[in-house]
Amino acid sequence: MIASRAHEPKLRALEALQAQRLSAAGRARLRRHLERCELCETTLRGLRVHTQLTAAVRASAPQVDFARMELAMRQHARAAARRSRLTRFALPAAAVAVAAAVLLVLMLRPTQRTPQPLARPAAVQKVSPAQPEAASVVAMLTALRGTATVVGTDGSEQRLTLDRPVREGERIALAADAEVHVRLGTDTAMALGPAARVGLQRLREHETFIDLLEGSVTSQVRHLQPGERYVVHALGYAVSVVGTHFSVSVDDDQLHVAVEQGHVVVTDAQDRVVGDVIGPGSFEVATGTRAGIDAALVKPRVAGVPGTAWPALSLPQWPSVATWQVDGSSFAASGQLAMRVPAGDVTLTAQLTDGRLRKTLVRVPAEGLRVEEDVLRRLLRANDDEAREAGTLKPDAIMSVVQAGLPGLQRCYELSLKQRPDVSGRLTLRIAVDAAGRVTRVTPRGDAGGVPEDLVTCIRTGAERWRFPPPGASGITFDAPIRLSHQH
Amino acid sequence: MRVISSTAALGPTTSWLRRRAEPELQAIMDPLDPLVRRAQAGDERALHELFVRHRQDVARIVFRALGPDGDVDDVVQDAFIQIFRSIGRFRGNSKFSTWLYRVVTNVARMHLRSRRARPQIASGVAPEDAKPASLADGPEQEAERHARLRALYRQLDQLSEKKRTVLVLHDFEGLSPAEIGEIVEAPVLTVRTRLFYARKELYAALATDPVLAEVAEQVREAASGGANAGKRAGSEP
Repeated sequence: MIASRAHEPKLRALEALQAQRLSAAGRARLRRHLERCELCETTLRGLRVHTQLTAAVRASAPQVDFARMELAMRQHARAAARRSRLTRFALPAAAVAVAAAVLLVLMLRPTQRTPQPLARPAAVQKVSPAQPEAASVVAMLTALRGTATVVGTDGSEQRLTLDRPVREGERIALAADAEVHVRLGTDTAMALGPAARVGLQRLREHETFIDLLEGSVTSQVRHLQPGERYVVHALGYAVSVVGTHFSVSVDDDQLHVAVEQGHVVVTDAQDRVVGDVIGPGSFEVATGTRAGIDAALVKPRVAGVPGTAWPALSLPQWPSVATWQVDGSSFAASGQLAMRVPAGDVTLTAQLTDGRLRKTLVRVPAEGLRVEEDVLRRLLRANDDEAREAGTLKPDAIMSVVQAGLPGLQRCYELSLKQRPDVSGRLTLRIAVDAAGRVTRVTPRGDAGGVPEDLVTCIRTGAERWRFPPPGASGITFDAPIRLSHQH
Repeated sequence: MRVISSTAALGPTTSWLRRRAEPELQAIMDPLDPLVRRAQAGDERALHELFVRHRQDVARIVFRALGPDGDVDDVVQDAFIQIFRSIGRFRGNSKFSTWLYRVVTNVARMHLRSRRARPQIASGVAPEDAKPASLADGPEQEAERHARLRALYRQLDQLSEKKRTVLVLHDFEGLSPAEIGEIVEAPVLTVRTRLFYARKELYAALATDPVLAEVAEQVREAASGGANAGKRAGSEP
């Protein structure tokens, strides 16, 4: 045996052996050496594994959803183009103007007894190209339950339907049992709660200002880029957001802000910061009281990407149904429900008033589907055997979705660590996936092992957004253990 | 072609001359893509066209740099934001593809750096744990392959940033040391040294990784089978 301390494996020779570039004599000599040198033998083993894995890496193709990225990249391209033009033309022009102003002042200086202050560089402002204001955005309803009305910019009032887009300057008022979800842009939507009254003060590509007059509005906002704003105005306060899932409620003259994810800043009419909330948490503006959040916030339906119209699914009010769960959203079953869903098979889950669940698959054509009462009756009576039949999904398919989804949960953990630096542990999530691959329910199982409740809630909410390959039949349920660890 | 030869013939002592001549020669040898010029001029469509044209390449580079569990989508997006921001500074002194590699590699490296600094949230799901009663048993090759790649990148995480970058660009992307030198802005000799030590450390780690023990056994058997076959062939009269 050759002493490993004094011996360094000859990588080049081993690589040549592996690549079969050695002569017969060289090969034989190296093999004789390998029989006596454990270190070289180990290195060769590692080299062979590396060669094989390198081939596997080269054969792997990344799964990137470019379509989802498309709109964001267009916006970035626009912003970059604007910056570039500014740098190329406006800044040099401004510099020339300033230089000219300075020169002018210097030239005039000897003739004046007292030094004059530099003229305000009005010319600078003149040469800056006027920033074209972004066009207003037409927002689409993605779900409507009960009755709501919209007041147009001309003062005309009409009943809100799923097909009626809403625009900047309009106001929406909801009945006491109604709920409206509006998609405002890529990955951005809001859900208006019962009896809410809101004004769509500004709906622009990079700026959304909502006036909340009554009730509550829950928002899901994509991560905003510098210069982009999403603000809810209520009771003279402005609730601004930095990419988050949050809710603003007006109750009499109390303003309540609940943040499930992200960071929200509340400012008063004088633009003073009166509070900020990092989710998960809540803030009572009048009293300054801070607390956790009791229950997961409503998930506003984004429903598709801008430029595409998903078909509408309409469900009648049904006395024995307490809650509808459709395409990842949950609605109380009071009043007629209309919502946008992807065309194709959609799993419709009805939680009956006696607590039982009825699940069925409906095929939604591109032109939409209105489920009539008799059809619904038949659907809800669909045989239970079929409903109980479980779908199938390979473990690696589950693994890859869970692994891909973990970075999305990272934020929850990081925020939690800010409040409790010692949080770590394990928890097991029981995840129910419907036939189409959408997560319908996430529940923590057993002891959460010291993981705080708000962190569990945040992780649950994140896991609800995961999308699995369709398992078919009535979906599947499985357990996913999550480990939380950090270094001090 | 003649122009290229004459540049090479200038020799190391006249590097100042070469540097002075280079932009002009470069323009003849490898004129800037009109699309890049338009993008530099602030043409929004050209920037978007750059995204469409290069997104597959960028995704591949990012994927190979980060591994199967990386946030490829996010990093690809960040890389393009960076490309859009800094394209104005691309002077055409290197090939556009080299510049692109440099930007993307840097973004991926920054991402890896921040990932290392972050607290870890990980799934404790081993394939057998994740298997519900209703799951179909079938060939698990894909899962195995995924687990092996994950093991590889776990070992890559142990390498220093510089060694890892060079190894990924050379072994996974198939770039030459000279090209890598341009990307990481280091002499070719330095690139070769980093590659040597990266491989040395990685081979030792891969040989003892328990997840990869089976792979090691398979390749050992395949190699010994080949060697025996060779011996047999050699011993035949």
